[in-house]
Amino acid sequence: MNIRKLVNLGMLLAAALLLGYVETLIPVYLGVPGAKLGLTNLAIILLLYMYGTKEGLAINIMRIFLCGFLFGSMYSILYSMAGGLFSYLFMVLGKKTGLFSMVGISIIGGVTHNLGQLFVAMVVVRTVGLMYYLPLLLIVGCITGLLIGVLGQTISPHLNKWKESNG
Amino acid sequence: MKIKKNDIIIFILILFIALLFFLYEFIFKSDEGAYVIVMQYDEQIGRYSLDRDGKYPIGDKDNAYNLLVIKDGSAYMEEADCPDKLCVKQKKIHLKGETIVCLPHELVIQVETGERAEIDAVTN
Repeated sequence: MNIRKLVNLGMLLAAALLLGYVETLIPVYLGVPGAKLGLTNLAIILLLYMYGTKEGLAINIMRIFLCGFLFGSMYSILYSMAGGLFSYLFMVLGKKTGLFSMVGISIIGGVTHNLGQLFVAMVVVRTVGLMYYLPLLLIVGCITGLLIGVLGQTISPHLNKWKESNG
Repeated sequence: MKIKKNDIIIFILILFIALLFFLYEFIFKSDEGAYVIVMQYDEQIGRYSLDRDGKYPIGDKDNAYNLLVIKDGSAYMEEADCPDKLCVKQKKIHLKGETIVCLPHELVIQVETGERAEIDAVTN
């Protein structure tokens, strides 16, 4: 890995942390612990398209731990990890099918992130009743996914230009 | 702006699935609750009628402390000493199936319907 790529990845990780901080300023009290807006997904999905699966995974895991240490608690790391890895898996698979644009992948990411968190919450407290919140989580995940996807598509060409000039 | 047809399809599909789940809850399950059950560490430790106002402390201030309040037919968490206090910030619940969860204390307050029973003894 050359040093320019390392720097670029570092900057995207920093962007993800910033987005993570902004997320803490907009609280979401939905009945499911750990439900979040998924703003950090913007950095992850841009990274996924800019570099690739492995880089995205590495940065994703790092930002989950860092955001958890900086802004959350041990519990939030658990949820973040569940939601983040689950959604990353589906984003990568979705991207491989070639059926969706960044917007579609982001929607998939947003929805599966919430689903992952919901399932972990249900397992930890062993309450199937939490499924009550499924419709709301699906809708919120869908809409934030859409917004992040549109945002990502707008930013992406500029990021690529920057990457070309920087490496 | 490159939006593919599949993006729109999946967006609508997910909203549709959400709607289906919502209708199911709404049609089959949206009753006013009769009481709340309190589960902690996977055991039921209490059952309180929503008809009766009351304050029910769970745990104690040295361990895990939560304060459940029932007032005017709804239940909410008034106090807790968990780090994130998400349970306290939850809105009041009163419909069947609604829950308040305090994850660090493995505590779930869930609304149930059924016989409008008297307050059961609390097993602690």
